[in-house]
Amino acid sequence: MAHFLLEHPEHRHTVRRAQVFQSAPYGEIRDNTIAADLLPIDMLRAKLSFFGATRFDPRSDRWVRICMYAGAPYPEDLASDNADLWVYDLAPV
Amino acid sequence: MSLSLNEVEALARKAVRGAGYPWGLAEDGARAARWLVAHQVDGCAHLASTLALLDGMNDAQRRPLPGRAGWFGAGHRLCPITTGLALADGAIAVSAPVRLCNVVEPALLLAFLGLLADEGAVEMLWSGSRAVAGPSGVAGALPPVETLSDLVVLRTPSTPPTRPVVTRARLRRVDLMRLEALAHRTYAPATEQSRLLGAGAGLTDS
Repeated sequence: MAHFLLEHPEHRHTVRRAQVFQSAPYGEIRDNTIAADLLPIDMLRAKLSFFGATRFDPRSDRWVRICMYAGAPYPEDLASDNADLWVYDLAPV
Repeated sequence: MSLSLNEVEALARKAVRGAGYPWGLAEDGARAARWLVAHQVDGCAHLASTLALLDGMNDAQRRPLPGRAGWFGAGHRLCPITTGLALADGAIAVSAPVRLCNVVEPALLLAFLGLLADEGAVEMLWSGSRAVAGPSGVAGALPPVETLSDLVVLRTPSTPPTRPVVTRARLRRVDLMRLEALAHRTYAPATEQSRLLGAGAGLTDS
């Protein structure tokens, strides 16, 4: 592979993607990202969810309003027993 | 100008691509600049200088070729990114000392020697001076800027250097401007149509 890439540096990015995929099977979007019916907003929503966005409020197929850090503990209150769960804030009663 | 390492890598990646390298090399060139910065070498200055000196070369001209006196560049000068990757990948074997001719910005090469070193150390020798690269940094003299006509790379039993890692880059304004000018080549100009089609609320927020 090293000798191939010396001859064909234009394929380096593709080779890396194939190699990374072996250890990170979810490292890439599994969809045809250039399909005519693909909506970038779908990937945007996925990415925002990784960032911790909640309460997705789609305004069109181009943009979405979200909420972040609702109910988040202050740094001094953040502890291992609530670190993973605070994002699921309680429904108002 | 102070940038995060992530900002350094993102800017460097676009700058290398803007200078005409394929994306795969741009990613590795950017990682090299970031690695040097993290280990307290001005990777941005060395990268900006490399790209200025080699601007306009194509893949064939940047390719290292084996010669009687050592490896040389098809375009007469050796690119530190393509040469460094050939060393780190193993396309240029370092089982014996490797002689390199007319290397542009050899300081940039040190980042790839750090990769090549794995757990050990690799040294670079030129006109009586020596630099050592390991997985956790570089030590010794820094190669002079621009071009070295003759240098040797070899594995060494020396202890690999370790230097404290920094998390921010201090760039000279001139280097930032050089990298941004190259990065700018990767941008498509906005048009009235693209603005109208673009994401976002436009004039209304509901």
